[in-house]
Amino acid sequence: MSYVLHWSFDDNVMLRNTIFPKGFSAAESTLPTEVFDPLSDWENSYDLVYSGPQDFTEPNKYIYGSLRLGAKFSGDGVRLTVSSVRQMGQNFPKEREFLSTAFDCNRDELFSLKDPSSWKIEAETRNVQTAPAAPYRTYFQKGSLNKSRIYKKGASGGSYLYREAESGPIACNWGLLAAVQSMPRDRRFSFSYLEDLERFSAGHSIAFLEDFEASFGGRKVMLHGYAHKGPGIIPSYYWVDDSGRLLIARFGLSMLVYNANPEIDSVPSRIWKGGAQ
Amino acid sequence: MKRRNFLQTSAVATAAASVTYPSNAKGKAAMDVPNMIFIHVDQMSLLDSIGAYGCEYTSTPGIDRLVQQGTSFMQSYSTDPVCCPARASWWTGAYSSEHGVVCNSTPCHPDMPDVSQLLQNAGYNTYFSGKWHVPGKKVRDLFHVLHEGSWWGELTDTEVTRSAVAFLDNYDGSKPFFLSVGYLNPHDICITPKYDAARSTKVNGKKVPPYVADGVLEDGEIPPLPEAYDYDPREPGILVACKRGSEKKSNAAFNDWSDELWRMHRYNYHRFTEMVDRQIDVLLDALEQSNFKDNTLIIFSSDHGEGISRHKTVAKSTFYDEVCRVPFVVSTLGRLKVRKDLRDEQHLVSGVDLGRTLCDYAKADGAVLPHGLSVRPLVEGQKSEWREFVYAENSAYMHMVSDGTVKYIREYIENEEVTGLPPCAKTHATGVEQLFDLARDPNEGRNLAYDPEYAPQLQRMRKALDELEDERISIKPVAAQAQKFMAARSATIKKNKIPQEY
Repeated sequence: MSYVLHWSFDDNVMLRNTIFPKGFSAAESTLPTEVFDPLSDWENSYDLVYSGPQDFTEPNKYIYGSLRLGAKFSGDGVRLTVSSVRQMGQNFPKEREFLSTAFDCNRDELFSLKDPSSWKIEAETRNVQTAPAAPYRTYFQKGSLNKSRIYKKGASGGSYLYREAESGPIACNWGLLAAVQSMPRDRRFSFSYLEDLERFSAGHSIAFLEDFEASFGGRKVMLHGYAHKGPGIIPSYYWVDDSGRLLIARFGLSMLVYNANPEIDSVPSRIWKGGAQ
Repeated sequence: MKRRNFLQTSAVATAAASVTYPSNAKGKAAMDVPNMIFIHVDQMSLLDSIGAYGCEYTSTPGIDRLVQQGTSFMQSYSTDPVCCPARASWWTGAYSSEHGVVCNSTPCHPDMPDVSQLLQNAGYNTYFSGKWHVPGKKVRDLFHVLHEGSWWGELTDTEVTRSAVAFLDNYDGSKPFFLSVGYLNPHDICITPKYDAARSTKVNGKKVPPYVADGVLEDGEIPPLPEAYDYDPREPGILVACKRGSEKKSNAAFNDWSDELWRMHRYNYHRFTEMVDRQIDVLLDALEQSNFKDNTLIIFSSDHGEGISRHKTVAKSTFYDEVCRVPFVVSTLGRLKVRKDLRDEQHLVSGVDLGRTLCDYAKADGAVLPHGLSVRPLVEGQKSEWREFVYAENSAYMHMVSDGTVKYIREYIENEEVTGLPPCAKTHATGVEQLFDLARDPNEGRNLAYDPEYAPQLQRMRKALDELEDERISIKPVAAQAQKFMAARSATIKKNKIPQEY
């Protein structure tokens, strides 16, 4: 099976030997074929793949979770919803964190956070094997942005000023996954980064990288890449297809790979619903 | 729904929501003892890492808060700059040859003490989140585990933070707590060299990464080569076998790295350091907003450092400063007696000191721990009898001693038969020695062990190392996994005829 892959995701055997053969390059390819418009309501889903150099063959060593990302457009805004699950390494596949959030973005190049706007993050760690850790297994946080000031409030304690950003847009990781699907390619965009709506770093930027014709099992796909850099991340790469749909996001040790039916559902199955009890 | 059914359902739901760990404290806590959080990272050097210490290539507002609110020990050494051995030393107060974890993936001797249990005996509830990595000791037998962590920081350090924050948000405060928060990063730096090398193209026989040529990074964004780039090749054979590669060695490493690739490694390390720093910052915010701000002591450290391209190395398993010196900060966001924004350049601190320090603050009996000194008097500005030399071990075959101005490293040569007994001067022949004059040569660029001018210093340090080896508790053979490691490394040295004398 032939592959032509870009250097940003062609650096480990696991992707070549396992992820792509079972996904994009398979006879029943997971490459999407439906029409996609990045500027009207959509939902995309991804496998979260560990992308280290090992040649793992057991799925629970290379599939770390999944992400469902949805967008609803209205007027000058976009509401993004996030539902994700993540396995927990040493103890996987026995322990998983389920997370959900939703937040409002501007309809701009970065899908920057609306100012003012607010959001809440809810996460729960579930373990099918061990004694319950409630109430410590649930994580809850409210956040808001008002005049470039980011406020937070946890499950206890009051609201507090977390950061005051300098002027300019503030974007989060999930917003960028949506934004690259329609991002202009003629210039670099600078912004402050609020990763997971939790962790702030100033001085980030993203710019178009290049076009690249990939071949997945003989299927030619024209990819359009963006590179993102800044404090607290090593350079990350986002690849969209001709329609704009994000197919691959490559971070330091992980990738999001498009899959309409992710290997691990971000909605807890019965065993996970009951397991932690 | 009928009212009775609704009330029953609500009661069940409430009971489920309030289900919690039972206390694991076994004694009654002394009055006025603090809560304690041990924040540990993996593979963070004391050098070239932390903004508050002057690193110009990182921004670390989280760790900087700890530094500004606490006492930093600038002569702090890993007991053994590898994950499992160093971590076993934290929790047992013993050196690698004593607890038996002389390399990764080998179990700790079962009769070793454990700091968590000592704290429980002193009335503490003990909790753990994140990386453990002490084979032979089951973390779930020793702590209430909030989240067991992972091998990869980028993938699950966030969940480590969230579980710790959830704990701080919900703990009832009925007893003092000890919370260990174990982050992976900047350990992810172990992965990037392989894929950066794979992404590179060869130019004049050297691998050059694509980032500048492809416009991802500008050259000015990537730090220059480090000061301590060059090294004296008269290194212990075990280090050469693990790190240097050779033409005879099939997996020769780094010989074809360009300067650009070494610089990129440094760049990546700084980013992973920032990555974990952001987690620590969130955790500190949660503590600050919690009910436990005023009475919680924080200790921050790392199991070992990282090569960061200095001495043309990556990762661990050397005794160069960047690898064996680690952050050790005692801090508080509240009212505890901690000298703030203080850099202690004088006292030699070791990973074995963690246990007795925690016991001191908890008023627990730490006498069962074989080694270690409480840093509490130093943190509070009191005089304390202190060690003259700090001792460490590595890769089973290297021992180190330093007085802060001179560092001496001795390699041991395996006997004909590998018995599994960790080497020392009384059982094994000496291999390569290294001596660095840290005052004149802080970059450790010249091995002075073979310089006649330094013979007196060499003799002094040899004697110090002999005496420190004699102070160890009884040494037993290590488990089969470690014996296999020892046999394999010794065979590599012999097979490749790596020098063990100069």
